[in-house]
Amino acid sequence: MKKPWFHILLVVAREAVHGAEIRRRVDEETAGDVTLYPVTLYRSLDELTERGLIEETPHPAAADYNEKRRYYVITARGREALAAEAHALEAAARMAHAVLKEAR
Amino acid sequence: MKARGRWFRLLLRLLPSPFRRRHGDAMATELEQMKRDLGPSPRRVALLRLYLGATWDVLRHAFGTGAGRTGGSGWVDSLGADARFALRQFGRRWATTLTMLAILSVGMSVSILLFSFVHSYATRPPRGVPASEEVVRIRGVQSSAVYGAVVRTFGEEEIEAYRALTGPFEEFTAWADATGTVDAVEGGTVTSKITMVTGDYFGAIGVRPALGGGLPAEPPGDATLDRVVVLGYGIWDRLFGRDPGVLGRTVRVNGAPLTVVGVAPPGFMGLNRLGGFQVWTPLANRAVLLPEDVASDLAFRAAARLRPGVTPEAATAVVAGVAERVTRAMDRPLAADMRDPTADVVVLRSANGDPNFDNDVRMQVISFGILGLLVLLVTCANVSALLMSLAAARRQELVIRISIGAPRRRIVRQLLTESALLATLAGGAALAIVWYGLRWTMLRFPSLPADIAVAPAAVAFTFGAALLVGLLFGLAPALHATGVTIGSALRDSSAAVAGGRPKLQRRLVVAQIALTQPLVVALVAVLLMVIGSFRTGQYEQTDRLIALDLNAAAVNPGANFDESWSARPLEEVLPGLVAAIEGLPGVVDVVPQAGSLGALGAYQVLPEDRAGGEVETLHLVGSTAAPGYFATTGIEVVRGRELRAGDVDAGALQERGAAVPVLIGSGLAERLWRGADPVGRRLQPVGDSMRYAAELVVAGVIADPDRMPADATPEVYVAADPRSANPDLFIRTAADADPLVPQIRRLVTGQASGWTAYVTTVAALEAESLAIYRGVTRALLGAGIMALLLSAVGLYAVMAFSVGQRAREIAVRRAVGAPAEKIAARFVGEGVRLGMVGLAIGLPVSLVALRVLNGIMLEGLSGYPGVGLPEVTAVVVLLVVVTAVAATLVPAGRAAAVDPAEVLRRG
Repeated sequence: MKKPWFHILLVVAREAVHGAEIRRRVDEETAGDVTLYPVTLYRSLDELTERGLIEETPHPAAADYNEKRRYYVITARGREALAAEAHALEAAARMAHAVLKEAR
Repeated sequence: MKARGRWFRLLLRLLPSPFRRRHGDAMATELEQMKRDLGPSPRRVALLRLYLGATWDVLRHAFGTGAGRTGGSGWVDSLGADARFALRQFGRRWATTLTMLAILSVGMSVSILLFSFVHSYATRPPRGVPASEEVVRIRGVQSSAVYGAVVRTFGEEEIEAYRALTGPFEEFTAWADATGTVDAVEGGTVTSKITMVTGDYFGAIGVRPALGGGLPAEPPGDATLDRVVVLGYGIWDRLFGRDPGVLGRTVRVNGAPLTVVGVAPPGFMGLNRLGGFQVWTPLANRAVLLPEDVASDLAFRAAARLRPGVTPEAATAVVAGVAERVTRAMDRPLAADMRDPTADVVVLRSANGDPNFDNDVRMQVISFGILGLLVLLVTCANVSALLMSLAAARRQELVIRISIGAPRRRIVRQLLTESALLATLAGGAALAIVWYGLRWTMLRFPSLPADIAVAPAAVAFTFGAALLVGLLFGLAPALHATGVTIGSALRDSSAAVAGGRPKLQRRLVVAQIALTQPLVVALVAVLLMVIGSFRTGQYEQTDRLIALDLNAAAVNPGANFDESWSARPLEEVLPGLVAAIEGLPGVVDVVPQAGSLGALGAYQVLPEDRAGGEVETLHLVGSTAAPGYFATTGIEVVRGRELRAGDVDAGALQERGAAVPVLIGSGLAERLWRGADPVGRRLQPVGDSMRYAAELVVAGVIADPDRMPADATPEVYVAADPRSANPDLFIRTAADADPLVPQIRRLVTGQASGWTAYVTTVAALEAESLAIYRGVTRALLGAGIMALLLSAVGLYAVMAFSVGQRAREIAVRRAVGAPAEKIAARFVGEGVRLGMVGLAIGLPVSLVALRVLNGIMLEGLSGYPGVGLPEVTAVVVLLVVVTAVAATLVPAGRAAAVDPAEVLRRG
């Protein structure tokens, strides 16, 4: 899974969010390590939608209601994909720890 | 901000259109939001990163793998790969790469600076004036049979007529220049240009004062309100130490109290670039600043701000009509040999003020341009040589890549990327150097004619040159390698492939030395001139010696250039002033300074007075010295006596049969009489066209100044004509002279109305000239060393490369018993030979450079001794040979240290 996808899925797994907000949260959660530039962000959103991992949703009753904004939320397939990715990362991390322990 | 937003939208057009239609607005808004989200601290860097990142992001998705196309990578991604590979290559040969980068960036920045100077001078307004196409000069023009079109200044009627032209001009200002003193009462006094202006001078030309406001637009007519002045930045610095509290203070300009209402911005010297100290005051003050005859006959120049939509051509038509009408009505508008007075309107540029004055500057500008080109050529030749050796070292790598199936164009593209990357990196560094260099230059040289702005054309040109060199010499090995059969290349990596390359490279080094030579010759020549003209230690106890130079308080340049005025003639003023100064407590003695008689002509020692030295025809320069001059200044009389009252004086030099006593320097005495007592020996004029007929009799010998060059033009001192008044005095004091300086200034103001005085201790003068001397010699030495270093690097690269190429040959020679020293000597010899060939080719160019330099120096800076070719050539040849030897010693040493067995086994 591409890195931007993973971080986007993490954000939209919690609630329906619009594009700019996704970028801001990813920036916040990774402490600036991952910057989603505009084209990467929107292309990833398109790609994830095409693959059925996320979907557009009517805007929730938010204070900052803005008709132009598209809100995205994770789908069931998206959750599966995210869980699989999390397992894979966990396995990779476990392996790395084991190797490091051995080396010690 | 807006422009940047548009730029991003333009970039977005590269993306597939459905995607762009769907998200275009959101992406543009997103970038703006990201900009707003940036932290406040290192904003500029963060912003740059954001822009670069966003650009890369678009390009990657437009052309790269991110575009989602299947199979193969887009060219942007592979460009990135090429660039990364190039960086690794550079890292592997970091020393050579860094050297090339350093040379390229320094060379590029120097040429950009020089070209920009040329460009700015031609296209920018004078220093301190913001560029605007609406601010124009109104130039008076007349024609002369001899000089063609010549600038003329305006009289008052003409100025009034132009001022009335509200059709073409929104704002109009005229000004006239005079000279005078500005006295800060406590801060001291300076001699300054006084520019008297009409209208809103600063507003019309768009100059914002550094402090306070400008001058009142319309003089209120109330004399007390008109009594205001705007100080030049230099005066503010000198007299007030840049005290912001200067506004509202009173200064005395030519004795009249004026209130300071503003300070001009740094660098601003008015529109006709007078230089030096300057103040601006309303024209209404002329009656209190200048004597009546001067005030009523001022020479004006004019500038204006055009009304929107009016072109300079349209304004010229109107102005020329007025000029003709006004000048026809005047009884004597022009000097005798001038005719066709008219006027035109041109957009204000630094270079279009006065063609007479600007000819000198144009010469400088052209030499700057040539210098810039030369620097660029040297740089390119040098980098080419380095690139060649770098490329040769990689030939095997390229051949291997081809042999395992890399397509030819892939390798060419790789090398192109490397060249472009090198040029880009160097260009970036060069721009940084230019940025700092400009700030430094503007601070260091306040008298530059225009604000230098980096000319985009100059940047593009130098960058293009660097790129071209990179492509030509970076690509050569690729074309070569791909053209050679793989088998032969692998079998013998040196002979078959390297073939003609060293020859080309050697030619480059020769070219580079030939080009460097004129640079170094010019630098050395100027250095020798500066050293040769510098004198110290002529006077004794200079902290107790005051120099006082009197100047007429105002001059009237322009129509009547030769008319200067003084309220009282010098002959009347001087005796009283001298007596008053002598009466000051602490003053020991007052003498006139030495005056110059100029060239006296050719002289020879009388036959009966010769004493062993060669019979030599001397071209003497004469100076006058008043009785007591040498004792007062502390110049030691080592033999004979000092000049005294009653000696036959300079007035008798023309009389045939007269015998004029002279003092000569010890160097000249030694040269003519070899230790024999020169006192009483005589010199007679020779040749037909002599101005002076009298014999010179040596009355005494004085000590020469330190560091006097042996071939300096010999100087003789003759007694000054007691009837002629010398406006420059030396004052010897009993103790430290500093406290007396302001007292003497006050005396001049009180006793010699119409005269201004420049008063300072000789110690201060010496310190100042020493500082300038040090600065100039340091700058010249630095530039010369840099040029030599450039050459040395090129030589080194070629020699090192040549050693690498000939490792086999050296090994064989060693194996058959050639001693290591002999092999080393061969390489050193080759380096020296290359140097000499370059020198021989560059000689004609240097000759021309030297002649031009001597011409400029003799005309512009009299007092500088000319420098002959032999000295300079000797110095340069020595420098180049030393450089060549130094640059070849290391590679030669390496050649000698090669282990023959090792090389032969490898081969």
